[in-house]
Amino acid sequence: MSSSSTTTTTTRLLMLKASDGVTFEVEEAVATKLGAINNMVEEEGSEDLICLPNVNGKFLGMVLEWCKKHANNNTNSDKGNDEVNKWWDKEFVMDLDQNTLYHLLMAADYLSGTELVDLLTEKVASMIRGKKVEEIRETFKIKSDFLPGQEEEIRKKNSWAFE
Amino acid sequence: MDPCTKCNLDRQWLRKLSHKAWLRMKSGKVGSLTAKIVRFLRYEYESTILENKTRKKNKVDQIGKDIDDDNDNSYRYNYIYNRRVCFLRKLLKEELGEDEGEDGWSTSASSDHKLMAIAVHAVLLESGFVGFDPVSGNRVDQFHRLAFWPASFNYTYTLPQILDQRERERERGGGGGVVAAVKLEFESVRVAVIVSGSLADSETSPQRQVRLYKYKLVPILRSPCTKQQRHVVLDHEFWNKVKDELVLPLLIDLRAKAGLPSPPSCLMALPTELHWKILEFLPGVDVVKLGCTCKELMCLFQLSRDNREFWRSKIPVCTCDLGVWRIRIDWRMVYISYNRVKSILNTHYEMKEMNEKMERRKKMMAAIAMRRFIMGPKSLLRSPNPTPQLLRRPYKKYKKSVSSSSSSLGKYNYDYEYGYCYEMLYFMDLRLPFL
Repeated sequence: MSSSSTTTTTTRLLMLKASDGVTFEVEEAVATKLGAINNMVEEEGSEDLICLPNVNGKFLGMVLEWCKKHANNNTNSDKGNDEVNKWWDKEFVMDLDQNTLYHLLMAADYLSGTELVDLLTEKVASMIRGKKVEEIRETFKIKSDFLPGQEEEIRKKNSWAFE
Repeated sequence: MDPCTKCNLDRQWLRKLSHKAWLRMKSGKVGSLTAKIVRFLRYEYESTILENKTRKKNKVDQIGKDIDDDNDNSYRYNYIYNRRVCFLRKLLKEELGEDEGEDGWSTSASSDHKLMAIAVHAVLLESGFVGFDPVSGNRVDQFHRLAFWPASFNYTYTLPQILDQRERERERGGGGGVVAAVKLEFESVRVAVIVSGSLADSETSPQRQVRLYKYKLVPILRSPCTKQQRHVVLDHEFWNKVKDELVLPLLIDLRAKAGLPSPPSCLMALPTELHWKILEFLPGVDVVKLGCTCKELMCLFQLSRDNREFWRSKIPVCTCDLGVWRIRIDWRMVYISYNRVKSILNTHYEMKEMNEKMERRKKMMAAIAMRRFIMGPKSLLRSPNPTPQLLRRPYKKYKKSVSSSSSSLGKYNYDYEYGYCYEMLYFMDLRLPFL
């Protein structure tokens, strides 16, 4: 509030505390990429320490890493930068194993970082796309709980998808 | 090509499709609509082919760029990767640093197996397991303290939450009982380490097995190598493999046995809104397939049938103008017919492509036959029982011409071949038996 008078824009630092006690110190511009934190900042205003009891430190770190990258590139919006961003996103998503992916997805959903959720769900979708039913079951370790005959019935009803 | 301002999808085809055609959908006359969709799809298909061609070109450029960029590391994402390598290195140092004095581990062959076992140990630790000694019932933090050296050995893991639970029970005065744990069995074969895991003290639980090859993993653990190599092997061959195939199933089994809530390590544990979000990104066919996997997802699919907007979004063209009438359009039906037409068209184009290929091949064979007819009288004068040498010679010649023409199909000039042959014929004043 007092900094508005000075010409140099001082970036405010926020402290984010994860469930396992790990704290992250990030600029406000970075953290407000996440909708939930943005709301908290607007409501409380003065408080600098934000507790996030539902997010593990490990995943919060990854989410913030993503935010940092995207906040930086928003300020100087070039076309080339956009492409770099896309490549970066691809790399970010590429190495994730399933466990991390779901945890990250939960964290992003909790913090309501819409773009990140989109990115991650797209990744899950790409794992499903073009697979047979049995393959989907295998990759996601889903157990079939249909009664015998029930599955055939469903398949018959939606035979257009199995041609 | 001007995309719609509302949905940013192509509306080119709308000009070709009259609004009435959509309405006829209801009254049962699907024929004309189908014809129109076909026309649209052909347009779409051809444009995608063009796009793919240009994309391929770009890809080649991109790969070159990638290799260049690998050195300066400008936008390569390294967070997960670095974390893993650091974790692994630290662990290896801890485990091996103390061990080195006792026996020269770095030279013996079995140390390779130990190295790999420690790497697996690192994966387990990272996903929340702790070492556990089933005899004393205590937590074990370091790996090498356990009996290790025979060719196959067991190692037991459990979760810190389970140990906490037991502590609480003990304070209350209970006996503590048996701690739920996971047993990993390392078995060293000559070229590989086979790691198989199951729940301890239960015979019925399914066994998960991973086979890790020495030649792939050991050089990378041992010595620094190129980043690309380490990245690929560590992440795709090893880390993700072990985690997805071994550690996660075990974690789910163990948590289920101990009565803990299952972690969001499977798709089903995600909240429903995220399931919806995933469905949004899937093409319609895969939505159905996902629905067929289990009851919960089937429910989701059935809900989506009532959600007309959902199916509308699956059609990859602009449909903004169509929602304004009062008549309801069953978007799911539209999507189904769209899908069917698309699959028919795809096979049509595939057939067409194949026919073109065959035609080209025929032409080529004709050219070769002609050449043989004119240039190689030997091949025609073949005796019924030729000596092997005589047989081989024209065969070789023939083969050479085939391989050279098929390998450089682009450069090969059929017209030249024909022209050459015709010239020869003209000189010899011959008439072709065919053509």
